[in-house]
Amino acid sequence: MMVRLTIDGRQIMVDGHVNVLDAASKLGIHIPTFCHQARLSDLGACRMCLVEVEGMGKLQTACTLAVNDGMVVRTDTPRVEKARRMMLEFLLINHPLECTVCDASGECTLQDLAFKHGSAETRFKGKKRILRDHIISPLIDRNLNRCIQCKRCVRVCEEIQGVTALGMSYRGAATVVGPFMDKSLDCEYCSHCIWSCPVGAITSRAMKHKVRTWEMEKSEAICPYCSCGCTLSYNYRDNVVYRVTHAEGRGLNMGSLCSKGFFGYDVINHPDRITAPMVRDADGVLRRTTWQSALEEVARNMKRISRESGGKAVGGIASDRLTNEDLYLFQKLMRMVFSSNNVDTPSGLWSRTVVPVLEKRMGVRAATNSLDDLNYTDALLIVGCDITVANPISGLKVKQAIRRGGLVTEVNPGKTALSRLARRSLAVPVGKELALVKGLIKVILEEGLYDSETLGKYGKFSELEFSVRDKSLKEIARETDCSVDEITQTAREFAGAKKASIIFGETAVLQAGGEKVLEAVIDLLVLTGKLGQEGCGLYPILSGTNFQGALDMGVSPNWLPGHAAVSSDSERKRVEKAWNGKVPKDGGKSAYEMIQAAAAGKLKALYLAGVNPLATFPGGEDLEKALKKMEFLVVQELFLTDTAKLADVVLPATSLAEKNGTLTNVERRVQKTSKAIDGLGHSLPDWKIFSDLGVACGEEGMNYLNSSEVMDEIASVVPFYSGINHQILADNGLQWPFSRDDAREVYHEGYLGTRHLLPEGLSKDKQFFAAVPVWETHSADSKYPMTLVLGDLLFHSGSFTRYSESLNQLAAQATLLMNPQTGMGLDVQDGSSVRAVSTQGEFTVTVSYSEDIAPGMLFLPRHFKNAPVSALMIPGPDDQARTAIVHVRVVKA
Amino acid sequence: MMKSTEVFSAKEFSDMENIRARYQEPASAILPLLHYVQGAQGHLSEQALTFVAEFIGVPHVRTFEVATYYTMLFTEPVGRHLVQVCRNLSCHVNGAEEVLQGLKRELGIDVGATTPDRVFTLVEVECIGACDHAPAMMIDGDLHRSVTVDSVSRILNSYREKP
Amino acid sequence: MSELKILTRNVSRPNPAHIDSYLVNEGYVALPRALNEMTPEEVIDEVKIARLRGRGGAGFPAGMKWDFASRDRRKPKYIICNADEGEPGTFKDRVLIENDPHAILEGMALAGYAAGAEKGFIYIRGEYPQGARILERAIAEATSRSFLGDNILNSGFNFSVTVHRGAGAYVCGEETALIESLEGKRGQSRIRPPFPVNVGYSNLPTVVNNVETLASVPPIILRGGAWYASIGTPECPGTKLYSVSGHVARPGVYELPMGVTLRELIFDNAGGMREGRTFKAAFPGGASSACLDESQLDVKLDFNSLAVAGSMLGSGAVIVLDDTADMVKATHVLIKFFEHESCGKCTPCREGLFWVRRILDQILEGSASEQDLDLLLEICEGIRSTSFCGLGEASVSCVESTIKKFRGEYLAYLRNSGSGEAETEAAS
Repeated sequence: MMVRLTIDGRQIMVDGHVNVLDAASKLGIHIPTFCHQARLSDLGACRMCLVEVEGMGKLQTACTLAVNDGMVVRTDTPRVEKARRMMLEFLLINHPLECTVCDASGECTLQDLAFKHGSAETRFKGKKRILRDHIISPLIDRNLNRCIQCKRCVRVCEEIQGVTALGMSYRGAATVVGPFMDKSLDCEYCSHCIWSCPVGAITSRAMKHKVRTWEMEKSEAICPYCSCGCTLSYNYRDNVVYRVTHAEGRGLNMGSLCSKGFFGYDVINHPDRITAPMVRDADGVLRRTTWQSALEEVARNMKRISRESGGKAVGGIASDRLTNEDLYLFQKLMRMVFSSNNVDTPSGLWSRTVVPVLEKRMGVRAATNSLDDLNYTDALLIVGCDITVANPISGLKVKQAIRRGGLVTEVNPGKTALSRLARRSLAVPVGKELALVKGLIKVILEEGLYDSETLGKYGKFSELEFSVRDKSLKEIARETDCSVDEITQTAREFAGAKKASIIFGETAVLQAGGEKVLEAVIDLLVLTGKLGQEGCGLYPILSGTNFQGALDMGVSPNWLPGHAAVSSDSERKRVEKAWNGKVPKDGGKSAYEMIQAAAAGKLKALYLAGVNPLATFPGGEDLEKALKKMEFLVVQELFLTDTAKLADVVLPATSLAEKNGTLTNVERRVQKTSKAIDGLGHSLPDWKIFSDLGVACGEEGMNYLNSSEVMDEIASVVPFYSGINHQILADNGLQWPFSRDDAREVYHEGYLGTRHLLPEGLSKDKQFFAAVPVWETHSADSKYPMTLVLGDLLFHSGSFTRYSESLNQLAAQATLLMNPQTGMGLDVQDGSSVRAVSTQGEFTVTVSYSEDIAPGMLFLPRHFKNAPVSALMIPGPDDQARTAIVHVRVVKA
Repeated sequence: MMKSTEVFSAKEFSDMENIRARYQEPASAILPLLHYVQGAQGHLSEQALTFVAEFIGVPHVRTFEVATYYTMLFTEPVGRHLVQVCRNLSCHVNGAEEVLQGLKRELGIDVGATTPDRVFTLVEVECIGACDHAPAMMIDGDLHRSVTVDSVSRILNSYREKP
Repeated sequence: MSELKILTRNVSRPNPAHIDSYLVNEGYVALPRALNEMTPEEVIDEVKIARLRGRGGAGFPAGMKWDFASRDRRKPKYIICNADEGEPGTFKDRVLIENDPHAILEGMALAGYAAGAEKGFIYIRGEYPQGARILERAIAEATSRSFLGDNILNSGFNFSVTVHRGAGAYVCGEETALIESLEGKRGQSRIRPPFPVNVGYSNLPTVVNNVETLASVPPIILRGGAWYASIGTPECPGTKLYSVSGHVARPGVYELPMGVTLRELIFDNAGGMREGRTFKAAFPGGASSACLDESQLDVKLDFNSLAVAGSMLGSGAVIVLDDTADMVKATHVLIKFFEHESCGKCTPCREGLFWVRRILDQILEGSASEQDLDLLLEICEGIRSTSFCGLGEASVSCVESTIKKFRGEYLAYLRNSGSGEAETEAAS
């Protein structure tokens, strides 16, 4: 309902749920406040926003006062001004006036309001209250005496982040904001508390006393660390990024960031960055050289090998952290200039396992719905994914859904940050997820909870019924370590919810047979009719930043840009026409196949852009041998990684802060990221290097002026990117498919593009069930009986963030997590050393007991040098190299 | 999760389960549980606060917030007997200050301190609702009315040997 | 005017807290009558006719509160007995709790029946461990005789009561802070509206009534609202428990019809001033009320008359001071109390009281000037007009009223600034 009110003599119509403070801001009347913040619960504590309301004797807090029809508000009377001055005087009596050394100086609300409304002199005599303070965390600084008790940090920690690591202790003038027992902060380091503090009470130690706020410039970019695609601002001065900030309401993250996004910027100006090209000389030493000579060296060798041994002897693997423009030119270079379809990303495995199933079952090649839907989901099933780690900000959206009463069920081998908040957390052993999902289907069929429209289309579900007949719910419960009640309730909640979705992640699919789980998940969605509408859909989530973009750009041995099959003559011709060049006909090799071919001596030249196989690929020593065997190895990188040290040519690339381009996130949102600082030293953006190299190879079709020009070409080659250019992406980007003439193009609350796929439901040829006949994806080998999950930590992203000093303060070493029960069974103590042995190899690692991991399961982070997971992972073609799950044996060291 | 046996005896744990069962919302049991734990252990240790938080399913920091908010709860060890002297107006005008001085002398400690033998902790409190017999003080759960400087010593002595 | 013992009818009986003592004097007669002969609406109407006003301090009509809660369709609903008697100078609820707990329980059950609640809490201040024990015993007694519990007296009405002890926070006497505390949080006031009758404990409809209010209910149901309304003044009917303390000859709780004057209370009932002493001032509603001086001895002690006199009835805690009292020191004691009890949530109360206390320190130390008195009044006005809850609003009444009425005493301290006397004062 709309109401009309008058503020300072001006009338306005606003929604009846709005408070006076927000109504005033619509009129451009700024009512000062400290404690009020959008997205947080009302507090009304700072008393700074007091206003006069006709008919109400006392001054009222605008932030807690709901508007009323006919309300007459004044914000500009002497009484209001006096109250404001008084509040400021109250706050300043105990606030240390140390703006000279305060990192918040220049963007401190107290400083600004005192300057605007306050008195120039203080009437307070005597000593200020001084509270004893101490360091509560390596990255987050607290200063109790500056605190004005607005409770924003406490509320944000509970209400947005769902962590509640901060609280208010003691009382009155002695109230203290801090962690449990006022000891050290044990939290997700999301930085919300820093961001929400209106004064300098909570600040980042990472930039402490390094720079003044007003000396920095800001540039908006997309976070490089996961596929969520959060908007952030790099703050820089003299070509150094000093911090990251986030503005309330900006981006799909609405101003939220995670630890990586906020603290991980220190890789940008890291002293170890490579700043000049290097070429291995006759003595075998990498020496700095000019771009011209380095590119000539690459051009000469790549072309020679391609010419002498054929395009199949040449390959390239590019990181999915690169921009769409980088990736597009990379595959164009490999295909057109070096005549090879051997082009892939480390996430290529996903494209070859998950995407074909999505294509076969639904005719889509991405998540069906928008991340924003997660905020409002009524029931959510999360299978094989710690969403708070894979996509921390998507995780926040799930937390919001839970606060709104959404029923979330996790199916994961271990506990996550959601477990405490979710309706239930089912610790299903790896390999048994399929049984669980089939159990849900069984309940829905037996209780008749399926969607009647689906039933109408299918007539009956006999095939599906048959597939779930041979096990009772009791048996399923026993196998999945759940109770019958948990399975039944989950099924009922999911089927009964208006908006229900499924998040599907790496742990489930990156194991042998993982596609079957996905098939069953899609059966569940189809059966319950949870597709093709707002709030109902499937989110296959891989954490790799631009994994969707890499697929769209054709960084794939079998797919050209726009998901066009290499094998299709017409598609190839279409691309060749656009490029005015040749595209090889035969499909290429996947990343792991390229390494195998290298080991076999069939692949002779390899171009690695932003990938460090020695850290993240399977194979251990075998892998190193294969790389050393290469006739010519190019590594394009920010750092001299272990892999780069083996290269013949090292090309210095820039970070995301140093280039323009676009990224496509997990919800098909193409977003523009902008350059903040110039490339360090002689480093260049990846697209520029590919372009220059193409030109150095004599290919004028590779000559581009800027990344915007590259996007224009992408838009002409990739049909569903048609009409996209850098200008149109300015705000919030857009979700493909997009086309200027496309009827599906919708503008909705600032969103552009297609928010939900399958608006008409599944096409006729997709209306079937997979009815997966088996109950488990795979089982452990008796010689390697333990199931090891190789996964990510919240504080790191691949091996790249090893270079972040800040993030290393939060986690710098891998330990092998195991349930104490498992430990006791193995006679292995907490903190002792063990050897983890797989069929591929082994290494020694320290054990950490954790109740968070299910008994019988092990977890090892894959970020750190002290636990070279490559040694354990088994190389091979796609169906073998399921890198998230490894079977091992654990032996006392 | 912290195990009850790390902090409590079986009897204490079962008492705590009974207290929790009195409330439909477990979080409401926080004050009764903290009263109980303090009664059993003298003060609220970090372990106890951690356990109680997990026991009623609230974030750890919540028990700390609550324990430090209320004046009758102590997160630091106190003496075996807690001497609480009312300092409010009715007692004040009837000689509370003199009684307090007498207590300080007798115990040899200042307000807020604990005797070296850890028998007594002396604190000032706000009105304890015994204004009709001012000045009043409370030792543990016992109310002492119309206290005089002369009676201080006798009252304290009656507690010295008490557990 | 002399005492009229309605609420305190059982206080002087032997073993008064025992259920048998309560039963012999028409105890638990009102409850079965209501359950058997009256609809919940009729119970509410009777309390409305009685025009019973809340005895916690605000004086809100109890019948209306019950009515609001009963009209809210959401369930379950709660009755909370506010026994967090923390206002300095107040001890009347303690007397009722310790001597007539069943009257409170019967009142709660009647409130539950009227409002449609099946669950009651008694939030008793932590400083009353004895009272909590007595209440728990009384609940057990009443439950065993089917005056509480499931299917009370075969009426189909269920009502159970849990005693919940506070732990030392004055502000929990404010109903929303009390609810926060009961929910297991720091007891800090909530934003109002919404009010507890709609959004209270666990965000459900909740009636919060003072001990004395609830204890008044059984006599009202027994003898009728009209009878009750005939006692006291038309605007403020009934009797009131006055806690009298300070410099009077016979401090104690006196039950008198509303509208008794301060003079009658002190001199006719509480034994007058002590020998050789004369009346100087009184805080008629505890620490939160503005003081009255000798010229106001004939003010009637009811909600309306005291408001007109610039003070308030509050909980009826009358703290009397004689000519030996030092009004500045008395004010200092009260401000220290409020500073200690400020929850810290809102700026003016947290910071302002800290500042007020500092200035009073300086006045007593002899390091203040007359300008500081004006500053003090300005700060007090700021705190009173902008604080989040009643604690802050009322906290400065003592400063404002004593400066107004006993400015001379402040000036005496200020005149002695820097002189020997003030220094001795500070040094002692």
